[in-house]
Amino acid sequence: MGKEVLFSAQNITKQYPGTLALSNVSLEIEPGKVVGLVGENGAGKSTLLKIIMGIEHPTEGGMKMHGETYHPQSPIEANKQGIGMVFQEQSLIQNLTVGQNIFFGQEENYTRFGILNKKKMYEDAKEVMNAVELEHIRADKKVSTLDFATRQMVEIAKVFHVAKREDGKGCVILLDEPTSVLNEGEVQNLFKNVRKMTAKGNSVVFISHRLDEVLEISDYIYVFKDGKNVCELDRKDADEDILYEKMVGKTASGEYYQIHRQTKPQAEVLMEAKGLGMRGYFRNINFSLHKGEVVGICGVVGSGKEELCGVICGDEEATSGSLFVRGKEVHLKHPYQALAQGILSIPKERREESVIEDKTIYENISMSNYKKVSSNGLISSEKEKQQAEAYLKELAIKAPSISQQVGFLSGGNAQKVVFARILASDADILLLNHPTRGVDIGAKGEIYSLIRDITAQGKGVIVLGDTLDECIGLSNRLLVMKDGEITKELDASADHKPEQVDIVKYMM
Amino acid sequence: MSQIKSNILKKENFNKIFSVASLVILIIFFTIMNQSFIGVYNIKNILTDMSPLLLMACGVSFVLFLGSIDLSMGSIASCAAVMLTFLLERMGPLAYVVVILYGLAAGFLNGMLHTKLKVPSFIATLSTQSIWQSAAYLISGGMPMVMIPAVWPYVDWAKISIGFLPLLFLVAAAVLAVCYVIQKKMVVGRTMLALGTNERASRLIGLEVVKAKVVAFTISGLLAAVGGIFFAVKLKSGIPTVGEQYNLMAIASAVLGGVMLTGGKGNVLLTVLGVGLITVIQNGMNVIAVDGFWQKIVFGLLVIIAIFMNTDKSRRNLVVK
Repeated sequence: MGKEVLFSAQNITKQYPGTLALSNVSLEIEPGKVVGLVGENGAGKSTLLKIIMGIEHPTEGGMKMHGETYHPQSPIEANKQGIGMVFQEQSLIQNLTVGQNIFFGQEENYTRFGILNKKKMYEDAKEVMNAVELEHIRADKKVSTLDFATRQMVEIAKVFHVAKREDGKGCVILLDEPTSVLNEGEVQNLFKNVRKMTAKGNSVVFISHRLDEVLEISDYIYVFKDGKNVCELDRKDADEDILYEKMVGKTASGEYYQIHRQTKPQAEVLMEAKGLGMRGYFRNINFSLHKGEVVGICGVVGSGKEELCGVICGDEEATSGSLFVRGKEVHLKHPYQALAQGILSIPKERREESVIEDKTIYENISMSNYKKVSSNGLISSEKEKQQAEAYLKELAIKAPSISQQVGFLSGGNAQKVVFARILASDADILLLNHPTRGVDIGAKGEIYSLIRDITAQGKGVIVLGDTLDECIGLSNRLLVMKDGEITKELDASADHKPEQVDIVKYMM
Repeated sequence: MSQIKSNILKKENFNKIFSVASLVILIIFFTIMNQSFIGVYNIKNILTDMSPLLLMACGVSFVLFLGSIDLSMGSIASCAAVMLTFLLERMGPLAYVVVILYGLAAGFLNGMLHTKLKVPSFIATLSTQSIWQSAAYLISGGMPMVMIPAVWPYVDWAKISIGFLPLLFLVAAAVLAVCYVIQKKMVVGRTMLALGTNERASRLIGLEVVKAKVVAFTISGLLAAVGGIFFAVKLKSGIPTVGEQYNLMAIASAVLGGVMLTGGKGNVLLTVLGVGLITVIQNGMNVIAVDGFWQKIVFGLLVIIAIFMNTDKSRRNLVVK
């Protein structure tokens, strides 16, 4: 095409055991441009970024930076080549100052006879901060005293500094969901900085779930779906609907979420929250969950939805208000107490929170309800195995045997094991926190089908969707949370699904 | 992936295979050195010697399943031995009950310090070790206490044997069997192993994590006290330092039997391998008359070797504890 290219990736493929994360992906970044990357969770964006940063290595394909072969072995090497990344999870060290964080790993430049010259370090830090118009942040402040948005800005300043090339050529900054914790003014400030960086010939890769932001800041946009790069669009040719259609693959997602199987909630109330609150996170939450109902909770990170979920499943303690289960007030301090009331959650981080990886499939399945596989108070491995065999068939879990360690299963199959445990638990109030996170598309469909089965049995489900679309598709009713409060309650019955935009306006 | 799996299997089995092989080699070696090693009298001796260590290795296994450690067992055993000697004169057979209750309480205390006050088990049990050791010295006046002949009838059961199997060994074996049931068949045992691998997940799965921890420490304390009772009845005396070596030996036995120090893995039944190995070495060194101080050096080295072999380096990538 004859255009100038700062960075390019050709035919990148990344194969993980059991899943193909990226398949034949190519990408070109022109100098001075902002490139948007969009796609659903699990579409492969994060994997691509990790490969660009040298955290992961491609199975096939190569990359070029300034026309030279680029094959980083670590993020430090990537930085040296002029590529820096602001991670989704903040990576600043909380108990160091802003200046110390910016020059972390470069202390030898400020050390004389083993003693750190902080004054000089802070002066230099000031300069780095000035370059991105953050004069108001003092370099000697501890990071832990800054709010989330400011930390994010510091991190961007730091990354911009470390990725600066010695030869003065343009660099590439990768921003992974940088706006998820920022408010509107902060977002605009970020965009101003991004534009300033690009005006100097640097390029920025911008990843966000907020399509309007991507459209606002990007010059052109790559859309990812299921590990493939489905299209490249100029900003002029794109709008939210087009992007969305490309991302999901279809506009009408009714069939996907099996909305025709959505049950009508029964009159009986399973659980009710009255004025529920947790200091510093959320307050005055009122809602009820009926038998056979799916209630979706939407909100951005920091809206308090995760903490609300934690309180309901007994992981956190409420500081005000009350929770009623089947009409009786309960005080939960531990998840096992919640389980005794029939409440069980599928937490967000599967590996860390919902499976015991070095234990077998059958042991994992029986963990939330040992009574079911016991006789005379002793666990019967015979019964455990029978139960597991039955679920293996019912949920079509792909595994060599029920004695396989769960850690060796793919994301989708491990999640099905978690669902098997939830089903075996006989709990009837289920909290599904990102139930399809890191699950491939096929298994997603099966999980949606399972959720429909669960409600058909009269159980109640609270879902924190992996995407807003998922939340809408699955739920009978939606609660929108913002800054720790429910800002809107929306009906989402099968023939009356709200649009994403209608919900987003209550979230922001 | 199958390769990874076979590597892990190998790693897990390595200590067990090592233990069995060493045991066989040592028995042959000591028999060649001294014919009487394999005689009925010495076998009885070995089995009797094994019994308290078997109890303590079994108890500490539960704590190791959690990924925690119990360093107070040795002094709980010492204190129990001294207490039994002291109390038998004064209250007769009821002393056994008191000492058992003491073991339960001491273990429970460790568990509470660890779970409620959130003191790391290493520090909590190191502190209680000091407390119980001092208690043992205070009760005994710092000297070995000898049981008066009047209480001998209460302790003579220790001499009973069924065939070549001493009663003490049979009791220890029965305890081992009960521990196996706790580990494999009871929710509390399963919980210990689950939380040893992943405490956060275990909690969210709905397991009673705190209870399992307290129970593990309590079992460890109880079995340490029963081990102390064994020492006392075997020797007809209460020696305030009798358990000193046994912290290390119990942990080494468990590790030689395949229990992972990082938690989550192991089998109480297999501690018998480690216990057998250590007792045979000790007994064999006595039979061929190795100096007692040299024996301690041998044990120290053995523990280092056992733990080195059992440290699964690959795990560091998966779990940070």
